[in-house]
Amino acid sequence: MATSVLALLATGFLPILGVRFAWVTMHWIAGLVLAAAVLFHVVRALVWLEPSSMMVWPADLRAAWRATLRALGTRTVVPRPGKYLLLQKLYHHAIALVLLITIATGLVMMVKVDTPFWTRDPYWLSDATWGVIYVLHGLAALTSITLIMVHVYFAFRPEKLWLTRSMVLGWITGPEYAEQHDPARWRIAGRSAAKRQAAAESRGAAD
Amino acid sequence: MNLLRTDTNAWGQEVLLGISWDLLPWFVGAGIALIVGHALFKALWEPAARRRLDRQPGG
Repeated sequence: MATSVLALLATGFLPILGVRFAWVTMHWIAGLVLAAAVLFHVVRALVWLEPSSMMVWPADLRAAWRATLRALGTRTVVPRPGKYLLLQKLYHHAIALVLLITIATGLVMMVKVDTPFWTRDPYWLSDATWGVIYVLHGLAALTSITLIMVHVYFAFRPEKLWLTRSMVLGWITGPEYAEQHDPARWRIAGRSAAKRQAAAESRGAAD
Repeated sequence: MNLLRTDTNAWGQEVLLGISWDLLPWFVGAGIALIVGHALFKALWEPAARRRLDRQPGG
């Protein structure tokens, strides 16, 4: 997903910045790869993962309020989050909205591109409608630049490196789970908990 | 600075082409502002707030 997004940004924005190359075919192929990756993610998240862990709950708002108070110098206890922090959830929803807009408008724009599967039809929609689609596609693409910059920044912050590792490798250690998350809000099934605990212990022994 | 790109079609009507690419530096700038703002907050504000809390009674 990340590779296809970077390929889309490069093939979409480099020509605007004056780099001339045959970008259209690369762009729509990367777009189809992203669409497939997003579809896979949506199905996996809805069927095999817990969609509720990405929903914003009142407890998230209370924790965020307390974290804000503490950052402003008020002594208070900030409860640990479930699987994700409020800002992580909000970021996810923002990037999801942006990517879904680019994918939906991009798929419609494919009508104007010759592919091995069909011949282009630029008159499928009115000029005004095409204009709105291009505005939405461009606005979402520009917004994705800001969001990706922030995403990369947080991935490299020293205190977030354990999260970056979890994004790449798909696991966190037992001590990280115990320290950073509320087990009551992020329950791990017995079998996988035992597996993770064993893995954490072996890593702890290795350390 | 224009927010939208427009052109005139064969019938002299103004048609919408898309978002203006003049906005690109603003979106990059917003990203830089968020990053610098957060980095400054973590480097300057947060340690100062922690020191204030440590000085309070019971801290």
